[in-house]
Amino acid sequence: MDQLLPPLFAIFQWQNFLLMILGTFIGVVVGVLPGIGATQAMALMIPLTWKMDITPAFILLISIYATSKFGGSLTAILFNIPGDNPNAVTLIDGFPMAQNGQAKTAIGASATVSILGGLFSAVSLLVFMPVMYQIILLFGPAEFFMLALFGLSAIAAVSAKTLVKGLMAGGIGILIATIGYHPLVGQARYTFGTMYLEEGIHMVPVILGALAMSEALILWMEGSSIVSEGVPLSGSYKQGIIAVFKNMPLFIRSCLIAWVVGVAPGAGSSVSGFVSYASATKTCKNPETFGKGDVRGVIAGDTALHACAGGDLLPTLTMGIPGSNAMAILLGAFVLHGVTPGPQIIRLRADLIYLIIFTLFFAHCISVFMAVGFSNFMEKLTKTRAELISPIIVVFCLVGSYIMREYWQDMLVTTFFGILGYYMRKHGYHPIPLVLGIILGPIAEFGLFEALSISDNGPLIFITRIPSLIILLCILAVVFWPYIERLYLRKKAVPPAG
Amino acid sequence: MSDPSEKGKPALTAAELKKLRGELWIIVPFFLFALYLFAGSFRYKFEASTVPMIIGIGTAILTGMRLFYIFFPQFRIGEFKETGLAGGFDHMKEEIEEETLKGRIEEPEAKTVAFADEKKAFICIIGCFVVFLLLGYIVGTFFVIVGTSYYYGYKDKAPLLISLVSLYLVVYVVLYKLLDAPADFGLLLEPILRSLNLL
Repeated sequence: MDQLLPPLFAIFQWQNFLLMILGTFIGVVVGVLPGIGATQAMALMIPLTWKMDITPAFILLISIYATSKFGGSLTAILFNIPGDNPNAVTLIDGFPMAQNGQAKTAIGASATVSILGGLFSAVSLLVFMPVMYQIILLFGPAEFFMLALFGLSAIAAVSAKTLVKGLMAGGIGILIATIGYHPLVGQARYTFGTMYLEEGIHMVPVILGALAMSEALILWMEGSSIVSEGVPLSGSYKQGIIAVFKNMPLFIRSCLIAWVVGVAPGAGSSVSGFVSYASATKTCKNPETFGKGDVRGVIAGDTALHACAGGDLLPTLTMGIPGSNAMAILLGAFVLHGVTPGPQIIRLRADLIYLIIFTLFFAHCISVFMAVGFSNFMEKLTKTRAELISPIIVVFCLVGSYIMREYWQDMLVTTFFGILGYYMRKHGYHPIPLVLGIILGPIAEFGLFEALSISDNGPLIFITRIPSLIILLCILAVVFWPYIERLYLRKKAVPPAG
Repeated sequence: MSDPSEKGKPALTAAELKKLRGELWIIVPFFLFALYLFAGSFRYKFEASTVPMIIGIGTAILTGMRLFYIFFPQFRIGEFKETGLAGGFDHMKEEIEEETLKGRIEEPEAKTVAFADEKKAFICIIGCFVVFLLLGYIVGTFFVIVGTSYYYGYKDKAPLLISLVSLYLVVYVVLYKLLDAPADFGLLLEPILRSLNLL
């Protein structure tokens, strides 16, 4: 309780509360805006949080992360176009409901499950945190190194459609991180005698370029805005709220599915929404009404979108293993504010974790009132043209990269990685492993030598310690999974002799 | 023994081959970078050289194999078609989507991005960098917003004004005034302003 109350009070300090409202507003807006999602918005906000204290910084970032999906649900229900990829599941029943004159009912149901799903996420994190703490007490430097390696390999294996492309991008990220002074021996590496490179390539310009500026380039090239006319707001919000409470078993089942899918690295809200929806169509009575404007479809899909945040955050906060792209950005924010991602957070900054949990819940609540209250404004936002969104992203990227260290070269790095990030996406190399390599590479390198320095058996420490060995096996399983699966399937396909 | 002519028969169509060759823009720099860092690591102390050496050689081998595949796809070395977990999840999602959505989403027609579109966007982004470099971010923001919008033929004054005002609220009021971000007027504007005693 001693650790729970200070973060709760911190949220309700007026400056922090205002930031939460601002973050929620940004989250809802980026959820509605075509072509930009929570990951890009969080990346753009990182430089702005640089001079802030860690508490308000994370209130802002988590508010954006938590609330973008509800904005996307609104556009799915009213315009038949998902604001972000995960919201595709909302429109299956949301838009037919709106066409049947039940738009408000669909929005009411979506809003209610958003709040309850946020609550589930927060409670699940609170419940599992002490368990994770007990596990983490078993960890030493060898495990810290292995966890950093696991974070790198997991995201490499999950972010790119092709495993090896993810590993290549991750490798390049680690190599970029080796430029500059070595953290232990202080030797300058690959600097070409330039002062700029002696400090190394900072992760913020890379994050802004590879994740946000590349998105601006794509928007310029492809252009996008929601041009179709929306459905008028009709029906009753109250009916939607009542529908959720009438379908409580469905809500609980969807929460559990979402949580399990959320914990698996790479699956995220997009997959959890569809898995939950598919499960509802198979387990509910009268499944033939699904897809024709059944409120249970909205409940199943949207619950999963919001409830998976807990599962997504758990491995990120406790082990430093990001479950999604947005979580990789969050790890970057931790590093920027001087907190080493991974078990150290739960050991040294448990207050920060509780702050994140409370923010997650309250931001969900605020987002609902905000999105419903400003639905007319949101409707106008959906018409925003790409030609207007792209320059705003570019300005944020260039300003953000400059103000961190006041080097014009950082703006050059951002521009370079913007173009590189575009080409990487174009050819199936997702930039997230590269970014994560830059964030986790130095932590892994430091952990490696720290573990070796206390080891009597040299590198054998990584396999003689049981927790470290288990993590190593997990890494091998993630990296070699496709090959193991192929061997298994081949074996299964061979008919028995005779 | 298999017939070498059969083995050497390319399995890819001309379009697939062209798409594959496009990967050279990524793979060649990655390969050279990894190789350079691996080779350069030998001159550092053990602690400083271990990571770039191991990761450098590993990445160079993978990118080298991919490079080989791009030039000689018939040998299938470096094809790397194994999907990671993301591929598995995507497949699962696609299956469910196919089952549930059944073409319900109004998919906007995917625009084919031509080289001219790419060139235009790259010029735009490099132009933005140059503007910020020469004029700094406080003044540069105005030129980037107005310049790029006009460059892309977007001239609606009201949305432009709204975005300019909101951006100046963030850049000038929040960042510069409240958060003490550095004053920056760029390599060109700053000397001019100084000579006019305006700074």
